[in-house]
This record gives sequence, structure tokens and C-alpha cells, in this order.
Amino acid sequence: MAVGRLRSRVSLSGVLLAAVLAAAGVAEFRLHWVESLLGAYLASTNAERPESGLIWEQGRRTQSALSVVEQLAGDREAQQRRARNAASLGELLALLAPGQAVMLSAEHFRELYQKLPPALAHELLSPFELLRLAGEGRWSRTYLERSSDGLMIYLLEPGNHVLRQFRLSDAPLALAARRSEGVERTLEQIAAFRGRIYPAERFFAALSELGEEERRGVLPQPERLLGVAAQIVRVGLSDEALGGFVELGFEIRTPSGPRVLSLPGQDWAVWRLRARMEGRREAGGPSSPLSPADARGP
Amino acid sequence: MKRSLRLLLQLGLFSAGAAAAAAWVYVFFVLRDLPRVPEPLSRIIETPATEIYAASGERLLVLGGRELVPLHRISPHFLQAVIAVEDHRFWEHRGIDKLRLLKAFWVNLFRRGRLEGASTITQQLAKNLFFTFRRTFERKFREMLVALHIEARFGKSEILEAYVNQIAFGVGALGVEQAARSFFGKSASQLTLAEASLLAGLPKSPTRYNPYRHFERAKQRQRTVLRRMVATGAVTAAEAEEAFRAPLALRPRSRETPASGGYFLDWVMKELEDRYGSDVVHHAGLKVFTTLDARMQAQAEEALTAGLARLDPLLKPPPAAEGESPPRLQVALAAVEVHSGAVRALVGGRDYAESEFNRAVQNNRQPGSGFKPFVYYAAFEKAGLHPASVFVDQRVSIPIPGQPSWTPRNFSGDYEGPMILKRALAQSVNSIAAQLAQRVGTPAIIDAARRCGIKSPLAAVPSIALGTSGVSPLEMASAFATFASGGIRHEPFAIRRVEDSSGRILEERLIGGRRTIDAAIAFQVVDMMRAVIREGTGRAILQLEFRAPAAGKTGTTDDYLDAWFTGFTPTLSASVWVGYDRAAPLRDANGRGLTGGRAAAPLWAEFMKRATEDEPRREFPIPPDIRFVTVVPTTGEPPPPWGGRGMEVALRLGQAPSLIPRQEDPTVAVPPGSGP
Repeated sequence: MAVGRLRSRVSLSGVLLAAVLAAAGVAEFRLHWVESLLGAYLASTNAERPESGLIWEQGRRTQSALSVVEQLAGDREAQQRRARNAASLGELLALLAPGQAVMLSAEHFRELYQKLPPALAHELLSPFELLRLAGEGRWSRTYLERSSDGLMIYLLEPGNHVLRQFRLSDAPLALAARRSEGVERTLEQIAAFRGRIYPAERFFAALSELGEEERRGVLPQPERLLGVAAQIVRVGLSDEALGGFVELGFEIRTPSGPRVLSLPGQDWAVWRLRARMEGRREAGGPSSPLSPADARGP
Repeated sequence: MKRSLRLLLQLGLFSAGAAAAAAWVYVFFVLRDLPRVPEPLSRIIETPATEIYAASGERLLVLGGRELVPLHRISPHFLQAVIAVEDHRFWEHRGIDKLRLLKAFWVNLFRRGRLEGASTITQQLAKNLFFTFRRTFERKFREMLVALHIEARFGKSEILEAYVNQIAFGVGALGVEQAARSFFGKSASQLTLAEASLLAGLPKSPTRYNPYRHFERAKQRQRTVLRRMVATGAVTAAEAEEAFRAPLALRPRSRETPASGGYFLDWVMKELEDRYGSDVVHHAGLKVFTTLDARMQAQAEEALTAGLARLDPLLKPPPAAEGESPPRLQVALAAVEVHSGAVRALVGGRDYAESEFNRAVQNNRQPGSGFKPFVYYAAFEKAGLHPASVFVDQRVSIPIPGQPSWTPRNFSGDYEGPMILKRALAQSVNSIAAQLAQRVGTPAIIDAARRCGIKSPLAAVPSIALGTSGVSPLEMASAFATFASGGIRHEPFAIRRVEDSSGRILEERLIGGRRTIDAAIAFQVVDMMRAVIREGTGRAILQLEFRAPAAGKTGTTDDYLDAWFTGFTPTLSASVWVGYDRAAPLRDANGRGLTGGRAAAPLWAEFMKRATEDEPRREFPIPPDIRFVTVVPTTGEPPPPWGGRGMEVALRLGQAPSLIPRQEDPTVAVPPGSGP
């Protein structure tokens, strides 16, 4: 009777459904199948989801920060590498943009210093002073920083204390470059010779009239000129003395055009030569420049 | 009846089905922008750390970076403790603890005033990795989904390892290894049960349970952790009791925590962020080598702490503003190496944890008479005066166009009549400083201060002679170092070198100075400042038995708002400021004001005694064109043959007592009195 009453109230399908739901509920609590299924699904779609959220954001910031540092360190290293290969201070100067700097060993700087023309080197820093600094053993590195008009040079001890600092401006370095390789220009294009340009025959004729000591004074390194394969057409004399030397510019004709090679001459000897070329007896300071007609090149 | 029951059942089933369908739709809606989980999980931990080192080699601070410590290198006590207190069914669930969730739901719904969380370790990991701390239902749901994903993809050990390596414990410690080192000075593998249970309790609220600040609270939390460990069977009750009673050797708040050197590190961080940007500083794993001398920094902190302990009971605290506690006395110190500008110690306040405002760098307080050395330098350089020049200490009135004349008062209230300038500086005579300012003009004084290194704005008013423009202790220490170095100015700096994580140099500091003031005149001022300590307003220095060659100047501002002492040896220059953050006078219980000589000079002496104790005795180098002459302090003339009290002065070539001009015209003006 009671069973019949219950059967009339609850259908079999309802009981089955309730049993299934109960079984599913118990199974979930024991086997965690919903979490597992959902978790497996999420894991399978992981690659398609966005890299968002704190950890990814932090990762991106880390990557970006690392690349900034990589760039900074890389640039610095590349600059150092180029600086190590530089054969002269002029070359080094050309490598650096204003504000950029490189660190060289003391030995490397000494090598570059030795390649400077003696007058310029002396003007920059006395070789005896450099010897003293090297001898004391405190000078370990040299920091060179490009400014808008030259190089600031700092001689450093191991703790980075500056032992000496000095400026090397662009102009004498450009002069040094002319002396070592020459530049593709005419004498008129170089301000230092303007108004003091002579035909080569006249220069050499006057030179041959001088005594041996004077000739050595005008051209302490004649072998540099002998090594030039092209014809020397004109000679320019600077009237600015630097450390007892003045600059002589030799314009040569090359297949690629005119080129000026500079050499230092002792000021007293050059002034005597100039007096002779200009028909004056006494050697002294610079007097009248050549007439424009004389100065015109071939 | 039967029909209505069936209808009800069908309705229920339909509702349940609809709810399930809606839940799935919601799941897929949320899934669209659920974050991707990185693989392997350990990748999230390994970020390079930016490390900041002292000049003496100690690591001062580690920023951001973490290194994964494998589970086998972590004390099992800690792992058991963290599981017991955070998620005791960790090994059983699949990311969500459903029973705990139901319980929390019930408690939160029906028990008012109680909030219970049910986040598992996996959920906490998901939250820490991907989500903000904004509490919303959707965030919680997304966090659960990510937890399910993590559980499905990674093993329990991997999850636990990631969790313990990234949780925050406070005092800047992220991950159990950093925490073990910060709190106990040992590695995570060496943690005892007592230590592990204390640490495991911290992540719930690192600030609230910080054992350095709230030790009792931290102990109570430790007890909770131990009880949970007993409940989970990880330890016996006896072991738990023994661990609770075991003394905890907390590492003193050392240099590795920002509490010590925190002000210096803040300054370094700001400089780094200005140069490289915040992301590079925090995420690129820089190695920063600073100028800080950790030993000297500790000595500075000890000296200031001892000094404050002496001053606090002496002072009558100013009244508190409404609703606030009475202001606490503050202090700042900056110490700079004379021949490089390297900042060796910096303290920006009495307690970094209480106030991060860096009074050593950012403060802008009037230096009072501490400014007078610049006035004397300008007078010697521009007006041809020297330490034996005689001026008359008398009431003076300096006319100021468009304003009432300025009549400075001496600190003592008396006037002593004629005296040489060396004595005037030693005794910090205001009327004579004002006369000098009028003689040379304020532009010359400002120029001298600038050349020495003062960078703060300086008002071009006559009262500048008495230090009425604000400066910082770092500026003062650095500017006085220019005198100490014989006129060579070195910019103060904190960072020597910066490297990337592989040791490639990004920048390095060149240490070079330039001459900004004359060596001989600088020495004359130094010699006069020696007299401040030997027989002037800074006598407290000698009384405290600091006997190394030193020079300095006291400073006290109107109404005792600021007390200063700035001084130097031939190698180290330091400035100490004492005062309240808001304008409140330094007065003792009897209403007597505290001067720089009484409040700041003892702190300076205490610091310098410690900082220079291992240094060989060095004298100030005497420039070749300086000679010493003894004169009568009131006339500037040589003492009579029968004797009498003389004062030795440093004169340059061409200067002689017999050439001393006599200055007697008092038509000058001075502001309300600055003290010694």
C-alpha cells in the first residue's frame, strides 16, 4: 500500500536521475572529475590564450629592460673594440660622437701619444711628465671623452682618481692627420697656409741655398717627401709655431686630384728659408705674404 | 498533488540544467581572455636581481630578482608548516578545496562579522602570478580556473616549489630563501621547526606579523601555525610546544634590510632611476657599486641613536597638533670623503621605518652661522682682508633700500668691541659677519658658496651672512670639503660603477676635482675654523675628546629651530643637523635653547671619533705661501715683548699685522640674531 503510494508519487525515471546526480556528486567529491576535465581542457588551449596578467607584464618589462641594458653594454663594448684598433688619436676622435667616451689602457695611450707629431705631443703633455707618471706606477688607464671641439683626456689611477686631465682640440689632431697621410685638398683650402703659398721650384731652390743645419731644420724628415710618388707642385708655410715647430704643406698631384701632405719644420729655419724666398737677407718672423699671382697654383 | 510534485521536480531539473548551462557559458566567456600559463612554471621565478653593494663589499640591497630554490633544499619543517596553515588538503585536491569552499560560503553567508577564505595554495599561486589584488567575483572565478589549469598541467611538487619561491614575507623578502636569510641569516634548508613555523605564518599579513615590529603578534601567529601542524599530524604537541618555547635568534635589522642605510639607498635608487629608468633598475639585474662605507654608516647610525637618546629626555617636546602625537626630534648626517666627494655615510632621519623623508639630501633648512665661512672666504678674496684684520663688534645697522634697516644681534646679546676676524669667526660674532657682508656684497658671498658647492637657491639679501637661505647637510658637508681639500671642489656622488648582470661595465665614475677657490685663502678659513673647535663655539668637540686635527663651524637659527655642526678632518667632512620637521624650537625643560654647539656638535664628535679611529693622524697641508704670526686678538698687532695672550693667525705672503686696516664705521645693518 505504502509502496504503491510512493510509486504513484515518484517515477522511476526521477529516481534514476536522482541516483545518477547523487553518484555524479559523490564521484566529483572523491575523484574531482569536473576540475580535472576543466583543467585538462584549459591546459589543451593554453597556447591560444593571451600572455596577460602580472607575471607576463613583469616578463615583458624584464625583457625590455634587459634589451636596453644589452644595447648600452653592447654599444660600449663595440666602441671600446673600435677604440682598441684605432691607430691614432685622430682616428679615435673620428670614431666618437660628442658625449661618447672610451677607456684605454695606459700602454695603449702611450702608443697613440708616440704617434703624435713631437711638437703636438709636447704641447699636449711633456713626455717627461708622461714618463714620470708611468714610472710612479699609479697611472693605469686613460679615459677619453669626445667634446664638441676635441677630446678630454683623463689619466687615471686604479681607483679612478684623475691624475692629470687635458684637452686636445680638433685642430692639432687634424694637423697630425695631414702629416701622417695627407688630405685631399689644395693649399688654399687650408687656412693655416693662406697667403703663404709658393711654387715648389722656388721652395727647393731656396732650400738648396741654405746650410746643412738649416736644411735639416726646415725638413727634419726629408725621407717622408722622397717616399711620395707624385710630383710636388706647391709649398705652403704656416706662421703659427707650436712647440718650436711650424707646419709646411706640400701640395702634390695625384691621379685622384690634389693632396696636401704636412710636415713640421723648426720655426727658426723655416723663417730663414722664407726670408730667402722673399728676397730678404735676415731671417725673422713672418713678413709679407706672396702676391696672389705667385700663390696661384699650376 | 502528484502532478504538482512532478511539476516542481521538472522545474527544479530545468532550473538546475539552465544554471549548469549558464555556468558553462560563463566559463567559456571568462576563458576568452584567461591568461596563458608559462611553462615550465619555474620560469616565473628566475628574474635577475639588481644588487647594490657598499664600497666595503657588503651587499646592501637586492631588488626584484629571485633564484628558484628546489624543494629538496628547503627545510621540511617549513613545507609542512606552510601546508598545514595555508592548505592542509593540498595533496588531495585538484586546485579547489570544495569542502573548505562550502564551509567558507556558509560562514560568510550566515555568520555576520566573520570572513573566511578558502584559497588553496594553487589558487594563491594563480592570484600572485596573474591577478591584481582587487577583490571581485570574476577575479576569484578566473583565479579558480587558472588553479585548475595549473593542477592539470603540473605536479604537486612543482606547484609547491613555485609557491614557496614567490610568496612575500615582508622586509623585502620574496620567497623562502630570501626570507630565511633576511630573518635568520641562514638558508632555507637550515630552518628549525621554530623558525619555519614563524616564517610560515608571515605570508598571511607580512606587515601585521612583522616580527621586528610586532614580535608578540608574530609569536601568536607562530602558535596558530604550530597548532595546525599538530592537527595535521606533522608534529606532536610536545614538539610544537618545544618549538614555541625555543628562543628565536632574529637577525638584527642589518644592512641587508632597508632600515640601515635606507636613506642612502633611496638616494642611490633615485639616481639610478633618473639615469636608466625604473624598469631597468628593477628588472635588468644591475650590479651597482656605491661609495657607502658600511662600517662608517653603522657608526653614524650608532652615534646619532646615542645622541638622540641623550637629547630626547633633555628637550621639552613642542605641543602636538590637534589629533596628532607630539613631533619627534629629527636628525640628519652626511659624511663625504674630502679628496673624492664620495659619500661614505648618510642618515636622513632618526628612523627610516617611521619616516622615509631624507633630511640629509632633501631638507632645506637654514644653516645659521654655519654659513659664515663662505662670508669670510669672500671677504678675504674680494676685500683683501685676512684673519688678523680688526673689526669692531658693535651694534650696526645696515640700510636696505625700500625696507627698514637691518640690525643683527649677537647671540650673547653683548658686543665685545674690536677683535680680529679669526676670533670673530671662532666666537660666531653676528655683527662682524654682517659688516663683512656689507663690505663685499651678497653676490660675492653667493659666488663663494657656489664655488664651494652650495647648490640650493640663495637669496641675495644682507642676512645671507647669517645663513638665512636653506641648505641640506649633504651640501654643507660637501661644500666644507672644498675648504678641507685646499680649494679643490669634488662633486658629491654615491655611485662608483654600474655593471650589467654579466659584469659588463655600463658606467664608472671618474674621481677628479677642479680648483674653485684659492688654496691659501681656503687654508686661512680652515685655520679659523680650527679655532672654532679649539676655543670657540665648537669646544664641545674637544670636551668629547675628539683630538684629531679638525675644523668646523656651529650653526643655530632663530629661535633655536635648527642646530648644526659641520666640520672636517683632512680626509672626512661631515655635517649634522638636529631639529623638528615642523618649525618648533629646540628648548630644554628650563626653556633654554639648544645651540648647534650643544645639540649637533656632540653627535658630530661621536661620529667622527668612531669614523676616524683607525686613521693615522693627518694635519691639514699648509700651502707654501702661508706663514703663521701671533697677534693680540683685540688689536691684530704683535704681542708686546712682555707677553700677553696672543692668537696665532695664518697670513698669506704680503699680508702683515702692521698692514691691518682698522674698521670702525658701524653704519651697517644686521637681521634678527642667528646664533653660534
